[in-house]
Amino acid sequence: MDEKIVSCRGLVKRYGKKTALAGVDLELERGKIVGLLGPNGSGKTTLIKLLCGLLQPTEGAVRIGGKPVGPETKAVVSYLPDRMYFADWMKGHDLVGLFADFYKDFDRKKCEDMCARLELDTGERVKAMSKGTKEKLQLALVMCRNAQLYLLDEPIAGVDPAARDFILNTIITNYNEASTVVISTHLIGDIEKVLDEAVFLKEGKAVLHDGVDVIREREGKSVDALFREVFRTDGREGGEA
Amino acid sequence: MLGKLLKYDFRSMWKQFAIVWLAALVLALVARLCRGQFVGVKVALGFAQPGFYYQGPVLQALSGVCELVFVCVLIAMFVVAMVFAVQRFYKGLLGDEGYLMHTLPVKPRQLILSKLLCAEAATVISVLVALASIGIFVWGYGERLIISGTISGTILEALLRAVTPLSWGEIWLLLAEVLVQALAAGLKTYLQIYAAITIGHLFQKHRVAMSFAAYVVISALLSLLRRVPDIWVLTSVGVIGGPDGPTVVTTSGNIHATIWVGTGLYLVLAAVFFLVTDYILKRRLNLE
Repeated sequence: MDEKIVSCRGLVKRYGKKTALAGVDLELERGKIVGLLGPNGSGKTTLIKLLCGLLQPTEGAVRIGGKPVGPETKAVVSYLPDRMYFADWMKGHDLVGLFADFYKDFDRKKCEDMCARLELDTGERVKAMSKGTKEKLQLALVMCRNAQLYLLDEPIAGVDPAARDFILNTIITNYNEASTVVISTHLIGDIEKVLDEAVFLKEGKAVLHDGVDVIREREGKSVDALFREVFRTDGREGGEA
Repeated sequence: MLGKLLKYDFRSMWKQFAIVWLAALVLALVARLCRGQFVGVKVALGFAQPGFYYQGPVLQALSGVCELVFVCVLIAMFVVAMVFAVQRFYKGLLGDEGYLMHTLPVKPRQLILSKLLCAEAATVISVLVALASIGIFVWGYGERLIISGTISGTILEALLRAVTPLSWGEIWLLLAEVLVQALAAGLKTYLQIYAAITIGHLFQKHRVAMSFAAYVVISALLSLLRRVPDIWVLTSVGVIGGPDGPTVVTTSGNIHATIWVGTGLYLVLAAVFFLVTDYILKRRLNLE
């Protein structure tokens, strides 16, 4: 088994004239919870989409567990996008069935139990569900896989503090411990306590990648405080006050 | 994996079409009953002889409304089939739903095939439902329609003349060949749409407009290219360009050859569009 679950070499992504990633070199080990941190527009979502094959790199290469992105890597990557990806005609139990059909690592019983605990009515049509219910269902589906890599794109953005705690708790108590969890966010304060490593993305480049404890010891401050310092000059959103 | 994809695409199809298909059949039955009852009543009361179709203004209006709605539902069915094919591909693979479909452990070609087979099946079932509902509508009434001149006698005569030299076996064979060609034409049509949508998706902005533009450009190119194979095909099977100048098909062998060459051309075009779509989804996918 390849030691690195994620390996990016000289990763460049351009959208027309705009450069979203400007040469990212990044390696992530197995069994870590990694914060992919950066302000809006720093390239977090682009990097995650490249890792799960929704975008193709302009230059450079991505490998998951030593393999190029394809059906084989998609079978071991569990992705939570920053939007709802359900078809309106489906019901909750259709989605549970779909995940069970396509992902060998999906734990159907665990998901059904979780849905029951969260009082999610899986007989309800997605179209009729509230935004919060859809988010809970999507999170339950993604976290009930025993994946090797979880890619969670802004899982706590746009929700109240109580919901943030619930989401983080769901992630921490359900992920496969031999796997790596990548959480992208600019809300550092809320997730710092659960992170093993932090990656700072700035203007499409990985400007820092270290263990959270190492950063605290070396810099003498929290990751949140360092983040505000690094991104202050940007004049953009840099974490929530 | 293709089987699993088809399972979900067919369920989506059923949710969308069940009501339309049912409506077509029910309306055909209602329209048939209205017409049959009115005519039957008048005949029974001695106001009219069998085969005599005069109705009072109210009955005529009722019957007319039924027929109009029935025809509208038939047309709607094929519009829905086309919209379904485009929408399931665009929304399902290049819209938000694409975030799920492209992260499933399947190959892009399996995703395309699933959408394609489902769209083709929706069209075939719609044709069958249309035929069944027309059958219900004219049941016990069709012969009189023809005799009364509703269907032009000259067309009927021309059809009879055209197939008279052929044996029943050949007529069935021809029908089967035409059906196969229609299926191939359906595949080509849908894959041309898919290719146009994925080409439009390569652009950063105005992707829908660019998809339309791509479709128009492909169609224009095809109409230009068609001149070459048309001449080649027709010459090779002896339809035109004989020593005595242009002639028409005179032997059944020529008809079969023409149909099969046409079917082959549809399949070649379908394969080209499939490869273009597959290449873009595999190598150039950009779900932004």
